[in-house]
Amino acid sequence: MIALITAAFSWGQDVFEKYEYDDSVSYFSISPKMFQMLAKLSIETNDSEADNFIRIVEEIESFKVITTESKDISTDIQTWVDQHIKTQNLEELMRVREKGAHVNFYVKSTKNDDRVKKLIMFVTDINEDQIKLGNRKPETVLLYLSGDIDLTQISKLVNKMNLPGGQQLGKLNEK
Amino acid sequence: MELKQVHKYVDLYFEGQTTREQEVILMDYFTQPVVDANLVQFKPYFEAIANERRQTYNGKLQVKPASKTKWRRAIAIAVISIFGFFMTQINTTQAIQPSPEEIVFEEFKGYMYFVSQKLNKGHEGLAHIETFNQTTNKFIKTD
Repeated sequence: MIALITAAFSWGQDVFEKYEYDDSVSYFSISPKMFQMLAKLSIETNDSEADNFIRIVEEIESFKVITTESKDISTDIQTWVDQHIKTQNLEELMRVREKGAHVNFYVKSTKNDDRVKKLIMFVTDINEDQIKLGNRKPETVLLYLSGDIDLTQISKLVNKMNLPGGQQLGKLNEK
Repeated sequence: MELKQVHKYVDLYFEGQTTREQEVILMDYFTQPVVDANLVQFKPYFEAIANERRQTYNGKLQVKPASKTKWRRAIAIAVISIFGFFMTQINTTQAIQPSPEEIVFEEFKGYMYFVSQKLNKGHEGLAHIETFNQTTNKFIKTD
């Protein structure tokens, strides 16, 4: 009975809050207050790369990431994501199956096709080395963004880095 | 001394056209006790210059050995460049220590690049579909 209650409770609970202080999970979040500070900071740095970020920063209200190497927590996150999609009416934007990982994007869309209120990126089964998040090699990444976010702006970030995928997208936009 | 010639030299002198020899002649003329009444006004001037010219320095001029000065210059340059190098080092070490906002911003950038990269992977797939559609439309006439 108690187990059921705790299970029900933990389901309803925000997965970020749940694992915020867990040692096997690395947690990173930016509060709306911090975003305001970042917006000011970037104006001072005065370079074009930061300018691209500032546009994104201005649109984001909240940013949370948890990464973990634990399989159990990964399954728990998966459960939370499934629940969250149902309760918040999120749509699946895309699934990307790469040789190294599963990447799922979920969004809370708006009337404008390019803009979303929420963006969840859930990455599992990471086996590749190319994902560099600090020195960690996470097995699962859950990234949560809310605000009024322009997806094209985010995808343009890689264009600036001259990655092959980014160039493809740039060509697509020209057509 | 022909007065005419002296007059001519005086005129040339003030125009800056005299040669050294002509100037010497002028000095000699004006150092005489009596000069032409028309030229009296220039007498103190030329006397003063003649005096200046007569001055010589008989002491020994101390010439420092060239090699020593070179060494000193080299040392000075080295000291300045080492100092400059350390100053830039200090500046870079200061730049390496960013503010907490910058650390957060850098981490945020890392994650956003990651998201961007994955989003583009998906778009790449879409790009293929679009090219496919365009190619098929070429073959299927829709009118």
